[in-house]
Amino acid sequence: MNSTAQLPVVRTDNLTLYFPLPKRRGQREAQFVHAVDGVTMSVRAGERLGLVGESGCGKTTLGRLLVRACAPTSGSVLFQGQDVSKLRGQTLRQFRKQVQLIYQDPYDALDPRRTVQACVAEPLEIHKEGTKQERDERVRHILSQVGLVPAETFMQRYPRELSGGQRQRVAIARALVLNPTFVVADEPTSMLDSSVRAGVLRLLADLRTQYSLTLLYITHDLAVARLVCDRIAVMYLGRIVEVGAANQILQQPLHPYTRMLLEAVPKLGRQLPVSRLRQADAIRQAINPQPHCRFLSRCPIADQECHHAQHPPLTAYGGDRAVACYKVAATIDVQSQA
Amino acid sequence: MALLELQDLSLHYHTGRGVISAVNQLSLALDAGESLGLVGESGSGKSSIAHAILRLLPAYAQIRQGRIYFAGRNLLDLTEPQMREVRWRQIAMVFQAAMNTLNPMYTVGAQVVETILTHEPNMSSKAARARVEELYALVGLPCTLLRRYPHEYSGGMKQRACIALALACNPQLIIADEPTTALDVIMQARILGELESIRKERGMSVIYISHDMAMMAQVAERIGVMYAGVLVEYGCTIDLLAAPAHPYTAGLLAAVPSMADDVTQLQEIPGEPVDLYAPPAGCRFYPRCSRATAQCKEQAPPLLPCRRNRDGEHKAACWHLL
Ligand SMILES: Nc1ncnc2c1ncn2[C@@H]1O[C@H](COP(=O)(O)OP(=O)(O)OP(=O)(O)O)[C@@H](O)[C@H]1O
Ligand SMILES: Nc1ncnc2c1ncn2[C@@H]1O[C@H](COP(=O)(O)OP(=O)(O)OP(=O)(O)O)[C@@H](O)[C@H]1O
Ligand code: SF4
Ligand SMILES: [Mg+2]
Ligand SMILES: [Mg+2]
Repeated sequence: MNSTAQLPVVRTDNLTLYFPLPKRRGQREAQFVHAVDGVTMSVRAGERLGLVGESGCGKTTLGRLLVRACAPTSGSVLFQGQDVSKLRGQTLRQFRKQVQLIYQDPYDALDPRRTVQACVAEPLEIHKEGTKQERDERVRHILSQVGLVPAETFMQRYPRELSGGQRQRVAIARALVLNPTFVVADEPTSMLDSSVRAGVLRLLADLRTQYSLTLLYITHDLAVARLVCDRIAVMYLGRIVEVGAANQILQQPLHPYTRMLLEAVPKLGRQLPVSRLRQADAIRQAINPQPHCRFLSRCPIADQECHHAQHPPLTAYGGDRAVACYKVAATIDVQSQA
Repeated sequence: MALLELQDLSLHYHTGRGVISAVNQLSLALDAGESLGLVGESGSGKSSIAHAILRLLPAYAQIRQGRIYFAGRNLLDLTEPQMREVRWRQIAMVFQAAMNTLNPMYTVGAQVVETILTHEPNMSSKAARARVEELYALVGLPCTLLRRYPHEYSGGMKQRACIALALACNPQLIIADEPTTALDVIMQARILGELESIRKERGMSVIYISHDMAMMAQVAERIGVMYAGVLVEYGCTIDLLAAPAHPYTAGLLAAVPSMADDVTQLQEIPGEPVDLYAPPAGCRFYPRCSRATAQCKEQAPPLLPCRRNRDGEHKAACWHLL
């Protein structure tokens, strides 16, 4: 890999977003959901970084922060070295053109009063790209690339006249039509069947080769992440707990949460037992959390040390991997000494 | 007797550009207590079937022909007030547009209480609130979220809330349209486990609609495969996944990503999806099918039992079965 491929396109520094909860009667302390809590990470030029983690852990919020769809409580996002919160005027316009978000919810992403054609052409119009005819051509082209063919049969339809997966592909087309340099794709193929999804993922791969598109791919589907991503970051309650090369993470997960996640992957052809929900499975929100490791209450390997210390820092373990866990540090040290 | 039986159902959407043939001559039955999985290509008519059953289609949709029997009555003959009795109390749905189901102006808890009280007018509001807390526990949502608004929910939280909403009135049938797209694998297995336990305990029936084959293998007893508005294959889950009979099903299964080390690329079914404004006259899959012959181009294959299956249950619509 050449050296430019290693430069970060996006870097975050101690990025944090707390959502305030309204005060209830008799409550002394203000409460906050720590949706993103001190995330320091980078996305390298041309790479596809997967972001995985359980529901409510903060993936969407982190993605939105990266594209400046919301403002952080503290910390910063640097895009190509510039603090995105400080962008104004022309540089902000450039940023908006180069950076796109594919929304998790295709039912929210599209303006119901606009036709498919208008939805997809809008970014081109805002950025005054090409003539009307050229824009039409680009819209048609990107629609066929996401498998909405013949494109003519979709252009004049409204979002409500589309199936869920078709809407999702219109949202993808809209995000890609400007040939952006950085895309945050939030579960972009969750409603697509395996074959159509393969087509969309191939398109993303082609764009990477052609325009060196950098991708943050938010997903809960580890089988897809394995095939699509160069690196994977695992998030747990607002924090990154493990990050590394995709095959490393999937073959040799180090963090106890990553291991737990991998064990649950269903496999075709083998009927896995579905078990009932246990109390411990309830959704977690980090509301004014304890300073300890966020995973403590569920961790199978936690011990005294974990109960006393702060949340473990994300620490590098050779090569590309970093893990936030005290116990893993211990096991690795033992291994390397042996 | 079947709880739900679709007979020869055809559904069109009349749009400005012409007529979309979204569902074509579909017949399907579901017993009480049974779980059925509907899979298939994006845009193949799965949600349309669900909306037809609940009679929630837009005005420009037309049921060209067919009958939908539920507990012995043809739902297509019912008046709107009669249909309102059926919706939610007898047939509930988790909509694919989970997020659109919820009104942004009210807290989610208030909306679930409201749904219960509308459909169970004899219930006190206190009892309804207790029921909601029970439902939230069932789907693993903390009760503190009851007082929060939809936009404060993550994608997965909304989906769970919608599952709770569907369970609110103890329906006989739940249609769950892509209910777990925003849930991670652990939670998906648990929530589905919960639904499956309820199904078995109460003898409830469930239609799962999903593109996720691995998930279907976990929960569906039988699977129906849709392609371009046509039911192309139907059978017991284990048989169908182990030995698909229709070339489309085989292609779909080959495209499922796997964690196996030797798989490094995603497969695609070659060719383009069907233009539903002008579907092929014969088999709708023929332009993409490697086994296609002149017969396939001219005659639409009927859904018939596969020769090699034991009980006659495994059916496929193809002239040249695999
Ligand atoms: N606008 C908001 N107001 C208050 N809380 C919020 C808001 N948006 C998100 N949250 C909370 O922040 C946390 C993180 O939410 P986020 O949507 O980022 O999760 P996620 O990882 O994307 O989950 P999912 O996989 O379910 O989509 C959740 O606890 C959520 O309830
Ligand atoms: N309200 C509508 N008006 C016009 N056409 C529609 C409407 N709803 C669906 N369609 C069309 O009918 C076909 C079937 O749509 P349906 O929503 O049933 O597909 P689906 O199988 O649920 O797909 P997905 O998996 O993508 O959700 C699609 O080609 C779609 O474009
Ligand atoms: S630090 Fe402790 S509690 Fe946290 S993940 Fe590691 S072992 Fe578990
Ligand atoms: Mg999300
Ligand atoms: Mg659908």
